[in-house]
Amino acid sequence: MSYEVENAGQMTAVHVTVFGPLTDIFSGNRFPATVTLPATADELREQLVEQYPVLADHRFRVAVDDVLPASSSPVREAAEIALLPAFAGG
Amino acid sequence: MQSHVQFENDELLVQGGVPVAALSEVLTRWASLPHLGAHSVFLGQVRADRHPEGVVSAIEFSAHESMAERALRELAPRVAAEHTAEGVRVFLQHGLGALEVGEVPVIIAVATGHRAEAFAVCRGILEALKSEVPIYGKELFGRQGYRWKVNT
Repeated sequence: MSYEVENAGQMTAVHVTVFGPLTDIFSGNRFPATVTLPATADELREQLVEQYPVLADHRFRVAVDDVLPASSSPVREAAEIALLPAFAGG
Repeated sequence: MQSHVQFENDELLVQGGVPVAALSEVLTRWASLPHLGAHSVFLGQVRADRHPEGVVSAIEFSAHESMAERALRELAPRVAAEHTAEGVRVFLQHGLGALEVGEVPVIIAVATGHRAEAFAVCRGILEALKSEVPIYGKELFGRQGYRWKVNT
């Protein structure tokens, strides 16, 4: 049991905001989620897809507190998560 | 390496189209700087693209504003450094909200000593803007229908 607790990570409540084409699938562009940290950007994506399976059909990058984390480095804290599809400025 | 770049404007994101008059003011200011010898300007304009779903009447731009603002501010010095351009002056602004055909979503104006750097830095900033800045465009087909703009 203690082994499981040590490896469970920290459950954190976050706000998730979606942009661009992802706004078509969520009413309001913001929703709550719970993530377990530390986690890499890829792991965060998996956790969010598990809670919102509709995300599985979309390509996007995960930004944490206004930063795009490197894919291999673990994110230890998060308050705001943004899901960013391909950019289209200009 | 980051080379020094001086921005002419504080607001890199504005609501509505980028006012073309701002460019005239910047060019007037640059005329008094003797180290400058070349200006390169990119001005984007909303185009009435034809798609199977309809003809584009406007593009509604949105952004992750805090990230976009920071990315816009950071990319110009990096691009200037890549082209070893120094003493570079930049006016860079992107519009947000619904912009009709003919309106201006972006102006990039770069002034340097010589033409090669001016062209290269202006183009480099544009390409970086398109691929690195979280801005989105919803192409509206009159009052009915839309599709999300895709940068190629």
